[in-house]
Amino acid sequence: MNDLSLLFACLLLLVVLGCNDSDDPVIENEEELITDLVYTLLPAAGGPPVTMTFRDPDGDGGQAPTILVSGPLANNTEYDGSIVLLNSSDPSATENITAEVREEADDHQFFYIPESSLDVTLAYTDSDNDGAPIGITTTLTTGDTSTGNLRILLRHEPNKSATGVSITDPAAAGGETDIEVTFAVTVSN
Amino acid sequence: MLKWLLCSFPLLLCTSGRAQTCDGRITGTVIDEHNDERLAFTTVYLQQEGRGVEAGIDGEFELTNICSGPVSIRFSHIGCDPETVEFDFRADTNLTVYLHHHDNYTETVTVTSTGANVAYEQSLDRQSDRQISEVLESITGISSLRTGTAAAKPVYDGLYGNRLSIQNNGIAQAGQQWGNDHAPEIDPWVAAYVRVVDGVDALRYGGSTLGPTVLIEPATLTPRTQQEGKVAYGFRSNGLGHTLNARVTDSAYVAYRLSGSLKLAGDQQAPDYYLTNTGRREGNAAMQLAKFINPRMTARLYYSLFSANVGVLRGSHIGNLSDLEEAIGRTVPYFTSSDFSYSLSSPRQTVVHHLLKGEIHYQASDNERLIFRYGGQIDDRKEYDVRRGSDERAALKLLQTTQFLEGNYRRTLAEKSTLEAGVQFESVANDNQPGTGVLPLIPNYNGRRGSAFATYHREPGALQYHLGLRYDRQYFEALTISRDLPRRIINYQHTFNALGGAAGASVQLGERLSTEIEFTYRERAPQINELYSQGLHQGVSGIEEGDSSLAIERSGKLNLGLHYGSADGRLTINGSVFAQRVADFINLEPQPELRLTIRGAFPVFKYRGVDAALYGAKINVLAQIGRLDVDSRLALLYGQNLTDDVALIYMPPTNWRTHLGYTLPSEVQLTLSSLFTARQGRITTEQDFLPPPPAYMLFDFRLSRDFALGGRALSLALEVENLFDTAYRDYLDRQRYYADAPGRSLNFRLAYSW
Repeated sequence: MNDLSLLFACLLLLVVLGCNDSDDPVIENEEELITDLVYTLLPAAGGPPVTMTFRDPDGDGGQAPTILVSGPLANNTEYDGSIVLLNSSDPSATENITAEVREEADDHQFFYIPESSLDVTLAYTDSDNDGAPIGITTTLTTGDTSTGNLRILLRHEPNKSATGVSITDPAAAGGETDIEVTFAVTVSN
Repeated sequence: MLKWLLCSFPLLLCTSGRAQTCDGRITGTVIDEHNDERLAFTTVYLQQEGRGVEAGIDGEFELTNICSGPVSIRFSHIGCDPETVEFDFRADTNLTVYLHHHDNYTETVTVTSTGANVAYEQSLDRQSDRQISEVLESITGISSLRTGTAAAKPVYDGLYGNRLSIQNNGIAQAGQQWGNDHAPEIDPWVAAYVRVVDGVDALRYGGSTLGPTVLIEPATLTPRTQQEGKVAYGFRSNGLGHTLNARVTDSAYVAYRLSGSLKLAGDQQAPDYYLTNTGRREGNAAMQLAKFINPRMTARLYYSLFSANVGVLRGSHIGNLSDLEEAIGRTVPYFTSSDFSYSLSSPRQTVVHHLLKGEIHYQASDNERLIFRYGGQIDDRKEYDVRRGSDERAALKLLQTTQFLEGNYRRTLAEKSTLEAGVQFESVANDNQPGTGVLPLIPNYNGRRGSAFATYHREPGALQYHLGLRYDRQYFEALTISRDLPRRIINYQHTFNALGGAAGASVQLGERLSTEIEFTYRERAPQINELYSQGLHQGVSGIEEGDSSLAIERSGKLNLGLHYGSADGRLTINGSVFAQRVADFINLEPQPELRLTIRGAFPVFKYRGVDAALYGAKINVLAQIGRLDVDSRLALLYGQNLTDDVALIYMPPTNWRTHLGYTLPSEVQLTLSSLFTARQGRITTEQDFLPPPPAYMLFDFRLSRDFALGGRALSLALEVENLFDTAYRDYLDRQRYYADAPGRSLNFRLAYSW
């Protein structure tokens, strides 16, 4: 009986002492995180670019993201568009994620979806190994003066060849949305 | 002396005297299989003649004027699974009957095997190809909260997860109980008895609960344990699943039992398409040892390993809210392959769970018993997502170690009253393993819990009553990572004190009817996910945020029950109703504003304490009409968030299960089962992405036959699940947004026991 109590006490001590690990957790290096998207539109005929920026360096939580469009687009103008994705969660070592997306081009596709009130048309100018579009580079052609939202999507593992899939229609493509940002765009003369 | 092995328990039968006609005598003793104590007041019923007697306080009984010929005697006792003994009566006989009695459990919730002809353990063995939660559904009032085919966890009286603790062989099952997509890591093949206890009976168990506790136990090794074994193979056409089970029991230097299971299944199939990536691989093993050192002391050791690799429906893995909306509208889920496959790719989960239990029973005197119990668990869980980098890199890697220690004292006082008291200590360390490249949803934490309880039972006669108290002191240390930059570690500490108490009584109203009433007050400390979850929960496509200022939940529950048992034991009716009020019920609620991230907008869910009310009713009818066995169970539940005056989410809708069993003269057993699940009509459109699915009804059909081969038995079963290949979705299935539940399956099962 006393032996048992002693055994119990020893076990209790062992359990209490054995579990005092307060080791700090490892702060993960979130190398797959995308914090910034910059869509740069350069007028094909030359001139100052228009940039659309979405920045959220601390990721999902913390501070709210900042969304910025540098200025209006000119009407009836063709622009060469290009996308840059960054991971700037560590300010001392900003990573460029665009290259990674290009490496896995087969598994990625950008979509550009203007609101119906916004008079712009978009087209892909790049393609993956199978000849299917990626959308890192595009052309954007403006029509009449108008305003509206432009939604930019990056889909991971879409079915690029599904019927109905176009630069403005990702519905049939499926896959996971890695990026979905919206910019308020103005086309003025 | 002849030795009989009947049903799942050993029976010693001695004969003496000469054969007589209708003046024979059967005497005997009823003993608790667990601890060799004599069971007082067992009802002993002679089924042929429709008469019976009650055993005395010393467990002894006597039946007189027995005619020669076949005799069938049914033994039933409160807290036991009833057993029927059948033999050919030729001479005066003395029986020793061992009943599987659960220490001092009142009959708050009792599981009775489906079909009187099937021993309890055997009915669980038949379901060894399922998940443990599906096996638990045979208990009235239990439903499963599912993540498609990947995971299922039990819901009892509207409580699950942190509010329903699960005791795996007497040790609170550790693991990631917070995750609705995490199933309890228990192999049904090892389990022999499952039940739910509530009120006073539940006070002795640890784990996070708001009252009820699920008990899952293997068959006990006793000094009478003999050599036996069983192997079984099962095949399921849906998913082309193979299950192989084996079990060997013997006594050498110690009594031991070794069990093992292997499962392999591929993609399941809904009536109209494959559920791509819903395969499963599982390998489990368990070892039970018992050493009966001397009549006073028994040492027991138990080890179990559960290891599974489970695929999650590919089409359920989506990005943001707009993806979800697109996925919902589809007739066939995204990524549905037109071919069957055994392969598993992301998203998938792997889990390895070890449980080691050591126990010493010491019978200090005739009426004092001591138990020392140790339980250690390691839970290693990894979850793999579809991700831009390598899918072979887990997005979630958790390693949890749990240690549990208990000292338990029981004293039998005069006049059938018992006092039981215990102290428990539990320590948990939960660590995210580095290398995921993702900030963890659940922070690293350490927890310690010290508990003490005492219960008192008194069974003087027609009126029985019991009461108990429990106190838990829970300490948490959470090591969180800040969400703003620069990332840093912030340490939080909490101490919660939780009280519990229950009192109840049952009254025997005449010979056939008994009623019971029980009131339970329990407090539950918030758990770490409720306090500190932070981040995107893929399964629900939402951002989940804990609240470190949550208070403990306080619950009051009143349970009323009524039991009727007909004189011949052929009709049993159990009915119960409960009302539960919970203050600071920790509720996960969608926030009005969406959170904008670079991946789009996400709903935000936060934990908040609300006032809640739960009401429910359960009815269970067991009847034997000639060769027909009827088992019908109905459960109704109503859950309301009183603070906001809306329904509580994930409350099981009304469900009604019926089994009809019929034994043909050729000893072929036919079983037809039906399940009706009503629509959960109380959820509003604001509360969910999709309105709850319509009601559905499913049928299963089964043919089985046992062949006796000397002392051995071969049993064959053919079964059709979802007989009419009904396409349906269940409200409690979190993948109902994406896909139908599995369709028809033709199953075949072969078991050989010796």
